[in-house]
Amino acid sequence: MSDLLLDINLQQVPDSYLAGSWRVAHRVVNRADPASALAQATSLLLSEELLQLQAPLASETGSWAVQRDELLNRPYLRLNFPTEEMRALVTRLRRTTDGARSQLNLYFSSGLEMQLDRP
Amino acid sequence: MITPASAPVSAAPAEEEFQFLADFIPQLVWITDPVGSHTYFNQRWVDYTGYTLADSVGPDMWNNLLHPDDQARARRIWGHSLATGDDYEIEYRFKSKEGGYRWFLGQARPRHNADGAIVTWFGTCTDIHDQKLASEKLTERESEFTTLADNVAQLSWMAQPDGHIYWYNKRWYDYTGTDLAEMEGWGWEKVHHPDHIKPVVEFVTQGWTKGQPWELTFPLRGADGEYRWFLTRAVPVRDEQGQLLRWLGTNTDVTDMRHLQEQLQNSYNDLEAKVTFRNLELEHEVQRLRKQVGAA
Repeated sequence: MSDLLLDINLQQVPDSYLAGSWRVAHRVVNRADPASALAQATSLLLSEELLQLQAPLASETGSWAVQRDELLNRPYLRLNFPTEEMRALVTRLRRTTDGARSQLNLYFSSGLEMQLDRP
Repeated sequence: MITPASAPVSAAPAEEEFQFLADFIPQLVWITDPVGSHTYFNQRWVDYTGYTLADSVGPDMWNNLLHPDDQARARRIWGHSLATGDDYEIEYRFKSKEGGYRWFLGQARPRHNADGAIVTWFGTCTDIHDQKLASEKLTERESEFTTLADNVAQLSWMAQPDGHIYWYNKRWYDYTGTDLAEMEGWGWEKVHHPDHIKPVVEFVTQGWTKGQPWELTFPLRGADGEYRWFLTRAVPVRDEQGQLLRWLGTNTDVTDMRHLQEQLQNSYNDLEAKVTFRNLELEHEVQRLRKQVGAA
C-alpha cells in the first residue's frame, strides 16, 4: 500500500475525512494569542459532534461542525468551546489512498495556522 | 612514318623504367630479400631519411629512424609478415634527416617464385602525416564533444531530418536505463507515458515536417519506473544552402520547476481563500451587530 499523501479536492471532500483524532504537528501562531489553549493545543479530537482539545495545561470540550459557504471553494470548521466560538478554514487535506494517514491544514481567523496529522 | 599502336613507345630497359617510376611516385619505396635485408631504396627514401642502402645494415638505421614508441610494434608486425608471408601494413613515424617525425603508412607484399617461395618483399611508405594529424584532431574534438555532451545537465540527442534519432548522450541512457539499440529511430516512444504519447507523436511529427525549431513539455519514464517532466527543445541544423542536415535536441528536467509552480499557484489560491475567509468573518460580524442594533 502506498504511503504517499495525496491532495484531496477540497470542493468535494466528504465531512468524514475531517473527523478523527488529530495530532498538532506544526503551528504558526502569527498574531493569535500564544497563551491560548488553541495555540498551545497538542491534539484535537473531532468525533461525531464532540470536540476535545488537549493542551499541556488545559483540556476543553465542545462541539464542531463542517460549514460551507458559496463564497469559499473549500469547507471550514465551526468550533464551539464553552467560552468562545472559532472558525477554521481548511486550506489543505492530504491522505493516503487507504485513509490510514491524513494531514489537515487549518487557518483560523485569528491568524493561527495548524498542521494536524493523523495518526 | 606511322608507328603501329602495338609498338613499344620507349625502348628503354625495364630496369630504367622501374627506376624512373620508383623515383617519380610520391612514396618511399624499398625492396628486401626474403629475410628482410634491404636491397633497394628509391631516391625519395634517401632524400627523406638521409639513409642509403649501405646504412641499412645492422640495427642503427632503424633505431634512429623509427619513433621510439613505434619500434617494438613495427618489429613485431614486420617479424610476423616475414615469418608467415602475410602482407605487411602499419602506421608509424619516421624521422626525417632534418630531425622531425612524420607519420607514414608502411605496406609491403611478397613476390613468390614458381615454387611459391618468397623471393623479394616490395614495400612503400606513404606520407599520411597530415591526414593522421587531422584524424587525431578530429578524434580529439569528438572526444571533447562527447565529454561535453555527456556532462551537460540535459538529456540530448541528434536526429536525421525525418526525425530518426541516431544518437543520445550518456545522460539519456543513464536516466532511461536504455541503450542505442533500443532507442534508435522511434524507440523513444517506449519511455513516454501512455496518457501523453499520442499528442506528443502528433506534435513531433508536425515538427519534423515543418523544419522549424520546436519545444514541448512531456513526461519521460526513468530507469526506476518513475516519470519526470522534461522540456524538450529541438533545433534544425542546416547547410549553407539551407538544406536540413539534422536535428539537435535537448530534454531539460523541469519536474521541480513544475512543482514549484504548483506550490506557488496553491499559495496564491490559499491566500485568496484566506482573504475571502477573513472577509466572510467580518461579514458575519457585521450581520451580528446589525441584528443586535435591530433588536435594541
